[in-house]
Amino acid sequence: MNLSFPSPEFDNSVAGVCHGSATEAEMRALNELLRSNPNARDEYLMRIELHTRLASESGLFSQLADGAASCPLPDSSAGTRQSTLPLSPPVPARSRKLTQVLALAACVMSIAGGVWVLWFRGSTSRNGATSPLISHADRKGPETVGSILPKVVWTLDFWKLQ
Amino acid sequence: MSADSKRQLGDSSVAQQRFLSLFLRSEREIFRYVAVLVPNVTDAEDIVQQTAMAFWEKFEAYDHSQPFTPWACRFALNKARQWIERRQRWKALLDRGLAEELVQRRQELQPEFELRLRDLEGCLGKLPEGQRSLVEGYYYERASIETLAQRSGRSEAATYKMLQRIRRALQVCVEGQAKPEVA
Repeated sequence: MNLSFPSPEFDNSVAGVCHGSATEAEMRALNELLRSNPNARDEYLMRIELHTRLASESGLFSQLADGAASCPLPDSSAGTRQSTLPLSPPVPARSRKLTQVLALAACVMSIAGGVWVLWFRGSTSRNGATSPLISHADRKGPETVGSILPKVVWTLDFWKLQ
Repeated sequence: MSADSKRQLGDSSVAQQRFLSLFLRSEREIFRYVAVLVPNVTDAEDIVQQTAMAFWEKFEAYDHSQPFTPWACRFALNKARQWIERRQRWKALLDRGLAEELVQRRQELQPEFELRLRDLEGCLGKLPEGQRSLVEGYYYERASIETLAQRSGRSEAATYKMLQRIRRALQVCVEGQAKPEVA
């Protein structure tokens, strides 16, 4: 297979590379062309750049982002590539994944903070804890709750990075 | 728990926060760097994720007086190479020095790309509603082609083709040649 530039075959091959659907023969032909034709190589890079900017700059879709600020309901029938919902409008899908980890960490810290307050109040104003969690915290003391946090956050992120 | 263990966990947490902060700030550029070699979005994202894992494992070795992004990009390049090595199709595209040439040339063309693509948002806004919705679905929502085809009532092949035409129209638009109109 031979490719020329410019040509519809070149256009199709570049699009196939972007979508991950190009065949090995197409990719080999593209390799030959891009190595031998600087104009084709620069045009290829321009098209890839446009494609990756669309994929990485969610700010480009500002109208959609404004709409998403109203917390849309999940569409379970959408069958999207992602299994998670968008968190916030300005964050691209890639960043959303890492942002979710941060959000989870923040939730854990908030819950632990609440437990801490309850434990502190309990230790000063109550003789016995009413919930097993608070009771556990009472027995172990404040450093137990505090020391769990980094481990939980780390575990969440480690899980995410898997 | 011993004092040493607690201190180690605390240090780990601080390092992790620093890592996440730096990585999130550089993630977009790392993604684009990887996508020069592997433009398919899903594959490029996988490589970025593998880069994050590898980088976190070596984060202690990072010299904080040095810029983070170039260091992370070197990690990403290594990960991309490993990924490509295991895939015959992508090897066929990038072998015989083309990978290095593309990375190098992209660096040289970066200022020109910035100039040519600065009105991309404006050009997106000029697209007819149906086309804009398709682009948003594919790039922003990361909806599958199958889903997008169902939504629009087109075949998957026609949906791929439409995306290709829209990108071409956007390119013509950003280069100031015409308003994006897709037949």
